[in-house]
Amino acid sequence: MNLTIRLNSNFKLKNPVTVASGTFGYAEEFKDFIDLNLLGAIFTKTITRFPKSGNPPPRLVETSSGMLNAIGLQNEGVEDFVKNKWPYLRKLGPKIIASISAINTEDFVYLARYLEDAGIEAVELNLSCPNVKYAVTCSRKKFIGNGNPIMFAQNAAATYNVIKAVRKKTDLFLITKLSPNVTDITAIARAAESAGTDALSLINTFFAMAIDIHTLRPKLANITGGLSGPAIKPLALRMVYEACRSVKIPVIGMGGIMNAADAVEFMLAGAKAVSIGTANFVNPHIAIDILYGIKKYLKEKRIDNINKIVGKIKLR
Amino acid sequence: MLYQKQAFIVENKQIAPAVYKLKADIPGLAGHLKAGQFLHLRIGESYDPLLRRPFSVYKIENQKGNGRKLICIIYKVIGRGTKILSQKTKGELLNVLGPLGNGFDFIGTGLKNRPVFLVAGGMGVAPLFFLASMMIKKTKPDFKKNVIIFIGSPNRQELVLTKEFDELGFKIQLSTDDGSRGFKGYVCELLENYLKKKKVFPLRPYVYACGPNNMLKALDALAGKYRLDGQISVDKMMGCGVGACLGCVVKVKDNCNGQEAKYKRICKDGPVFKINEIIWED
Ligand SMILES: Cc1cc2nc3c(=O)[nH]c(=O)nc-3n(C[C@H](O)[C@H](O)[C@H](O)COP(=O)(O)OP(=O)(O)OC[C@H]3O[C@@H](n4cnc5c(N)ncnc54)[C@H](O)[C@@H]3O)c2cc1C
Ligand SMILES: Cc1cc2nc3c(=O)[nH]c(=O)nc-3n(C[C@H](O)[C@H](O)[C@H](O)COP(=O)(O)O)c2cc1C
Repeated sequence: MNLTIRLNSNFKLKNPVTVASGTFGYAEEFKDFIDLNLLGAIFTKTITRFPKSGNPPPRLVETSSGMLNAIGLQNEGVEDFVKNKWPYLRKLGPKIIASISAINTEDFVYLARYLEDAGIEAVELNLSCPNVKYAVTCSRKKFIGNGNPIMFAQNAAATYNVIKAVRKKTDLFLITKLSPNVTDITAIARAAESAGTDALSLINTFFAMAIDIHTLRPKLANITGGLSGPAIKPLALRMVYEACRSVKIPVIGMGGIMNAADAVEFMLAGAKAVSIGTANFVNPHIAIDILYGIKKYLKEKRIDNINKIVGKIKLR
Repeated sequence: MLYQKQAFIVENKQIAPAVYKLKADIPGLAGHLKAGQFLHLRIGESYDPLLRRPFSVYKIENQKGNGRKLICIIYKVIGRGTKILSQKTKGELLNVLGPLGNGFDFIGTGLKNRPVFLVAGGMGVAPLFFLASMMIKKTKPDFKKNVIIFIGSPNRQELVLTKEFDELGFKIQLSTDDGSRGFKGYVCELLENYLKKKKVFPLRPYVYACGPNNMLKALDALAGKYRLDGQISVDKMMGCGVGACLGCVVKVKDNCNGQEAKYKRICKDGPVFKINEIIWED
């Protein structure tokens, strides 16, 4: 059975099951629970140029079949990543994709080049964290006043500009992570494609909130956070479906995937690979269970090549 | 080494109005557990509630007849997860991650001739009972003389494990919020009364504590006032339990080279922290 996924001519995954940024730490946290080498790819927790302490607690709330988080990209910075985490990760079999984020274009470029120099092959540009304030200069006025942080991925021109700047300066395999907090995901997806990203990943979490009716306070110190988990799966699937139909580059689909059937749905909608996020918290071994479940599905359907299900949703 | 295992429920019994004791056979785990470490339980197959729930181990018990080691927890029903857990019966399985967290550091000879206080609030008695049992194993019989167990709870019904501490031969002082047993008030007030009366602070008392955050906050204040040293185990809403999601953090002082405070994970860097290491934010 062929499970290999080709994301472009020289970047392929040995299978379509990956783990999503921020839900798998730097992989070592999971090494006792799962054979990391079986994964298709590992997305690291998002890395920033300088250490970031993150948001004050409470940072996490459980909601119906889901959870809110407002971590605020806590990380030790790129220098620490290359010194202390990369040596472990680079020895693993799966593709390692370093997720990076910044509040301006210069820092995105800096991060990409720094990681490329360290020998990293692929980065994910996280343009869509709902819990940090970005300094998006382009069309900023449009977004002021709605109370939400402004993120690159909410504006096609801002998305285009930042990807273009990174594209010009590096040969890395570039994945761009999009936000569901937009009216038209296809416009952003196309902007990212035309700026030269090699692939898209979506979705990041939905802006959301919860209030404690006894204290009358928001349950998150950050007031709002990002909703993830099985509650968002149908919403995510719709966006992945639309994005896949609007671009030619490969799409990595995620949002609430809890089992193999969920993963197959995303692939039928057009995703070439899938990312497991919140489900890792529920069961640290789940990514491999999902991989085996996909294999079982293919066997039952007598399909010998995983690529044969990608985008095979029947519309009539 | 961390494990993911199936726990086989041997007993799940109500011991007080909202408090349960659960005993489980988790092959291969008992030998690895330290006092203060916890298990992360998946309560059911459903996605609602979604996340695991953390519980401290309070005791490892030899099962009569077959020599198997049973892992015991006690828990209070406070919300949906614990409610579902309380309905589980003998023979059902629970998926468990463990042993998680770093546990209490029993500083052994560092405690020589010092008063040792174990201060528990509510279900905080659980990990402290495990610690007390371990102290008995690791020290000479006269060590107990220096130890006092302070236990506080909302009311007399929820004062659990007092008999067990008694059986181990420890001195115990009790408090309840409603005065239905022991001192009326908070356990830290009881401790402060003791400190005022006995003036033991020149002997550099050492405290091990676990309880609600408000209690630990009060204890930190006492520690400043009476120069107490020790360790506290902190409770916070938790996500992955293995240090990946960064959801269950507390702000801690960074002592080395005067750097600014930073967030540490309860699940991985804790749940045990040094007294007065935490900067309480909520
Ligand atoms: C390291 C550690 C060890 C623990 N050991 C024990 C133990 O031995 N025995 C025991 O009874 N409990 C213990 N707890 C607390 C226990 O995990 C929570 O009571 C439990 O997760 C609540 O789940 P629930 O679904 O019933 O409540 P939920 O429905 O999730 O919540 C009900 C209410 O309680 C609050 N809440 C939820 N989780 C926590 C929490 N972790 N701490 C404080 N408030 C919370 C919620 O905000 C909500 O208001 C421990 C917690 C930690 C972090
Ligand atoms: C606790 C937590 C932390 C996250 N951190 C990041 C992050 O650092 N960078 C990022 O791009 N996405 C982050 N995400 C988003 C996930 O990668 C994923 O896009 C999202 O959770 C949807 O998938 P899921 O429903 O399967 O979790 C985080 C999600 C959670 C729950």
